[in-house]
Amino acid sequence: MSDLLEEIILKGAPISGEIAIGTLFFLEGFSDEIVPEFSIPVAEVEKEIGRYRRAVLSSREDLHDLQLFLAKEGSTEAVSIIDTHIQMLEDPFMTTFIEKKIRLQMKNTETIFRSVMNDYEKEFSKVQDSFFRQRLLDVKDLSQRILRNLHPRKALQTEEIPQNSIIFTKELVPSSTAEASKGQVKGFITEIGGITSHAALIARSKGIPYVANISTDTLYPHKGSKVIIDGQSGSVIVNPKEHTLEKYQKQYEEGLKKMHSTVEEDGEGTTTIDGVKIDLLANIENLSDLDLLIPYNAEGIGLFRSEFLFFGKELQNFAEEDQFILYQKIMHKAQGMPVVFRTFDVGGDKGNINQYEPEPNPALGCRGIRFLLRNKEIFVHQLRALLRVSTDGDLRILLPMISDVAELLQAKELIQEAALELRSEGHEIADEIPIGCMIEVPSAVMVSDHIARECDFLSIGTNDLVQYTLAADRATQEVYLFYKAYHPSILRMIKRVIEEASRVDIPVSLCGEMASDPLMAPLLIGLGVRKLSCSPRFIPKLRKMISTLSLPKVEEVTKEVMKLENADQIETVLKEIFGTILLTDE
Amino acid sequence: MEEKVESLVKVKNKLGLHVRPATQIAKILQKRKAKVTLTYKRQSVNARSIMSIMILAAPKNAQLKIEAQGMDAKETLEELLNAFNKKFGEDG
Repeated sequence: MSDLLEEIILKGAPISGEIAIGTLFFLEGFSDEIVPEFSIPVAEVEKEIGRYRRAVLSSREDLHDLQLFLAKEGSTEAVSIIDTHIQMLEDPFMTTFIEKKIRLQMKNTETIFRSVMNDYEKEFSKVQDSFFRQRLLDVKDLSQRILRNLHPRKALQTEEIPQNSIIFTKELVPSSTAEASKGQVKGFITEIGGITSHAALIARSKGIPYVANISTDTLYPHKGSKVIIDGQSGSVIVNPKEHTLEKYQKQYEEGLKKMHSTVEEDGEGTTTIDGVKIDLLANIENLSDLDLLIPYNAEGIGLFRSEFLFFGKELQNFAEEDQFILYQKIMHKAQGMPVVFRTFDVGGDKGNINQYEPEPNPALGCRGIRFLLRNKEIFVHQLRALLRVSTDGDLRILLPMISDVAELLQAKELIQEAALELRSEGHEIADEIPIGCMIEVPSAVMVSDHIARECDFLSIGTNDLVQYTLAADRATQEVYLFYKAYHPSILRMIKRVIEEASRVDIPVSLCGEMASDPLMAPLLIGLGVRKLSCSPRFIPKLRKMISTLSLPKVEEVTKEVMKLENADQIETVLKEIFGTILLTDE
Repeated sequence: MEEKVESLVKVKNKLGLHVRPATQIAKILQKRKAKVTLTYKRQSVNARSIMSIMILAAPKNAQLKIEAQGMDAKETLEELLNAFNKKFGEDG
């Protein structure tokens, strides 16, 4: 078939990676989806400024998440680039200057923001030095992010990108490179972009093939065609002939084999030297992540963040039937492995709810289970869709942000009602569906005995638990340093939850950044954790760490560590004892 | 007491006063109160603004004027000069 089409060979500049084979997908650049200019009445000006500040705040949160993610991946280069973006958010240009202009001109934020950025760009284009000029892209990227956050629902959804895409676009911005999921995006082709561009640095640190200097106009007619890119020679081959494809396929597979030899060994699961079994599960956010379960030997999904499935959609319009189809796909892809499905963990600000009133402090507001119990229709739709796939595999339901046992009881009642109703409608529902609670609010830790008695499993969410316990928002520059996962208070909380759960003999898993930190693994195992759930890419490192441990040793170390009084000491001790294990192959 | 100090400084970084040094400058100034201006080729910008510093596009060996004004002007200037001389912690 493909021999009928003409093979086109283009030569560009090699930027990153090796071979990628996929389908050409055109990514709209800085979309100039112009929000019309309009005037703001005096009384609304402060509200408009509030809207701008929130967009900046959300941008900062995005960037912090991205940075933490990149830090865990070890891409120090990318971390420092994102750091610059975070600093730029504090730039007087982005803060006081814009706010002053909104007050002065009384126009909508988009109009003001765009005109300020246009002036800046004009100023910048006078710069002769090409190295400096490239940095304009960082500014553009950041302003794009802020504009996106002014209109969250209009954002380009990465899940709109089909599997196995080779993305081509005019120029690549650092953030879309960083956010690219490896399952979806196989490679990048751009018209503009140099070897030192920030996007290139990030692509390289993630090992994604990238070729620049290819005209988008040449490629545009071939959207959806098969393409091969070679990030080492800079070749781009559209509609490859059979034998070309074979040749590159072989090269690609060889490269993959090299990579995988360090990833997967056997499907035997993970045990310590003395045979204590530790389940390593995957945190999953979208359908394409599911393809990582097998290559990384995950033993199931420890946390499916269901709210990521609907981002950009109106939550209240996310029909039961649409959810059902999605959930069914997930269950099939999990192939019988346990799927811990967390119901929507959103606050009013994320749910795109019409009647939503901005909260002064969303982290302490109506989110998670509180939101679901107040918006029962949304909750029940999701529960019904979930219950309907309960016979398609090993489904477990996890409730977010439980702070009191009453919330659990209410949710259980709703689940029972939904099951009854569905059965009366003739649907088949599994007899036993385990219901679990996230332990991420300090009050839940203190009453974990009550909660444990009423549910089937607990899952400790350390990200929020650390934030709430230490009263430190990791997205706030000033208190960022107080956000310490190694803090003794956190370790004591984990210990307490495990003790309460074991009294009634229910399992506890741990998800959150902490679970992906190989240095924490010995300590967590010493505290009694037997299930860790993290992003699949961390599983090999964790497995390696765990396979060198013995229970008596980690229990002894844990006993000593629990006596220490500060987080830094704890981290240092763990590094001293277990750090070398991590260094042996890197 | 309100002070005003100034000094000339040379950019030592191989890539000039690019994003990372600019970020370092902004970070240093976050802890300081002084108003700081950088001048290069008759263009003066607020040193707290990374975006403005980038517009200067000061290459290696460019000579800049730093002016600081405020309670902690002297200490601020010293810290900045020190950072310039240490190439903002970069190798090149």
